Amino acid sequence: MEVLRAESLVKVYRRGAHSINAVADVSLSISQGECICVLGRSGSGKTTLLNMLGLLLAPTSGRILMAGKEIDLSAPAGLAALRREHFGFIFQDFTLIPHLSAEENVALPLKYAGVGREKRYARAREMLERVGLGGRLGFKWDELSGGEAQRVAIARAMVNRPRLIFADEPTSELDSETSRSLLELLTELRNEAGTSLLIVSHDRDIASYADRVFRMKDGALSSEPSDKAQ
Amino acid sequence: MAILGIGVACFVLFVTGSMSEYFMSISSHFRKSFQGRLIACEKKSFWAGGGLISEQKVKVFEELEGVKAVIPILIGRLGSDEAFTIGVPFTIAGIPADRMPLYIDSAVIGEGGLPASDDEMTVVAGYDIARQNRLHVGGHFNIRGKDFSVRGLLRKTGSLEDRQIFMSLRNAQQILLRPHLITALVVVPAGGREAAALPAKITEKISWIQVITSDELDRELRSTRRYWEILTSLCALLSGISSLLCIAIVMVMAVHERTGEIGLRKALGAENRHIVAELLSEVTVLSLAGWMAGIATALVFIGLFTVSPLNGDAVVFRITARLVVFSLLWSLAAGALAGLFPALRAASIEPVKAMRKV
Repeated sequence: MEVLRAESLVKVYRRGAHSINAVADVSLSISQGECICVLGRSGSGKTTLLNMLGLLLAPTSGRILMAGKEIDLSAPAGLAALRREHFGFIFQDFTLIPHLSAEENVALPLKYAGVGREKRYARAREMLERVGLGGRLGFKWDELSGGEAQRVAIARAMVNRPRLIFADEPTSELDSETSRSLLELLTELRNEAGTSLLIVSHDRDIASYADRVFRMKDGALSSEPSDKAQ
Repeated sequence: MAILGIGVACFVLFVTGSMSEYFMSISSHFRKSFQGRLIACEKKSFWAGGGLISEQKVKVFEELEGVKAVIPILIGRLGSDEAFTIGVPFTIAGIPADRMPLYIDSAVIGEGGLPASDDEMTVVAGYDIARQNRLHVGGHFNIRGKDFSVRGLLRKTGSLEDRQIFMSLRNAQQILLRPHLITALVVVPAGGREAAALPAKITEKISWIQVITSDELDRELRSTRRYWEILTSLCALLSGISSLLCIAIVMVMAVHERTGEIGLRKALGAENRHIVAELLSEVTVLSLAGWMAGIATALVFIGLFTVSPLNGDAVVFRITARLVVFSLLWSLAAGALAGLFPALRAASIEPVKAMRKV
């Protein structure tokens, strides 16, 4: 079953008289439970693509469909509702809100979804225990290691039981051992919940966790053989 | 900084507001107690507390057609005459004992009663004086070296009477060293058509006398009240502008520092209304803290000023529930107003652009 489909997505940045085609006519379909990896160098347009698919950035042209229904990209409130109900995000640089505890960070998407305080904190605790951080509930960002912070980010991305998780360079700041355990955890949780995953990274090793692999170059997307399939 | 801004503004608003409230209360009771009566005093002396008139002039007033009764009054400071005061000090009011029932409403007598016609060296104390000096009926009160027995105590009225001690005119003249003199006369008209013509009749008879009718008193009080309102409004406006600026600066800085966080919250599903509500709730907390700090400082200031030797025995402040509520609402409104624009601006930032500013 198709979760999300992008048709002819284009993103053009204008800088004075110059135009930069960050994403050029990309079409992509993501099925339920599928893991897609988009590889590419810095500046290739992969984060721009992720942001557009995650409804964080409006495309210059093209359309995005969710479960076969076209999304109105001009309605910010509707986009926010779709994000909090169906999507989870793991970002590279900005993982957690520094002045909130791990528990509060994880409960945040549920707060915006209107879930009651008691219920959302119970769910946040449950998720943190699931990622092995049951003993770090009250810890803040600066009291957690890089790997722990990303585990909290994974718990937060999963807390609203999303259909699709977007992960932007989730392991770029981590050592190889921590990266591997983090990706294994993510795969395990994703398999349990049947959640789809779109990862963008410059790290070729991540491709081994993906069902399909794409390469982004100069804004254009091309398919690559998956390590997993091989 | 925001707490300081709101705090200073609340302090100014509360202090000027409580002064204004006190004046409003006094003027409102003053108007009521002289309703339908005339006040006669030396020309241009009314707002200075009255000049001095010979007691013999009372007869001239009593003989005028249309006059039902005349109440001569001598007013003077209870404490030292030289002490500097802002506000309403404790005063002695000397009234002939047989006219006291005409001047003091029996409904305000809390304990005891008014002096009999032949009662000398007795007093009736207003609420504030009685409380401050712990007076009780049958007790004694020393005024300027003379011993008086307390005949009655008045209830709290919120008027000048609270701060007056009533005694016979003769005793007051002795104590205040004003033999055969009075400060003013309260004229009770007989009613009917002649009452309206009475002020003109009085000034025709005694040219150096000023007659204040209750309508004129009303007008004068309204105009003074207007000055107070202008002063209070001006203070509210100036303090409002300063606190708005403080909050706005703090909010702009907070939004700037937390742009990335706002972007992340939006990415996680927060709508513009969530961001605005969160930022405004932070401003509300700041405003409440500022309000509490301002009110606490104002209360300490009022308390210290009231008991300070500089102030003497005068009172200039009246803290009312509506003043407390108004200052609270004002703080919250100022906070919301100053915080709204930065909050709306923060909410309108695209999540991706905002997160780039981390």
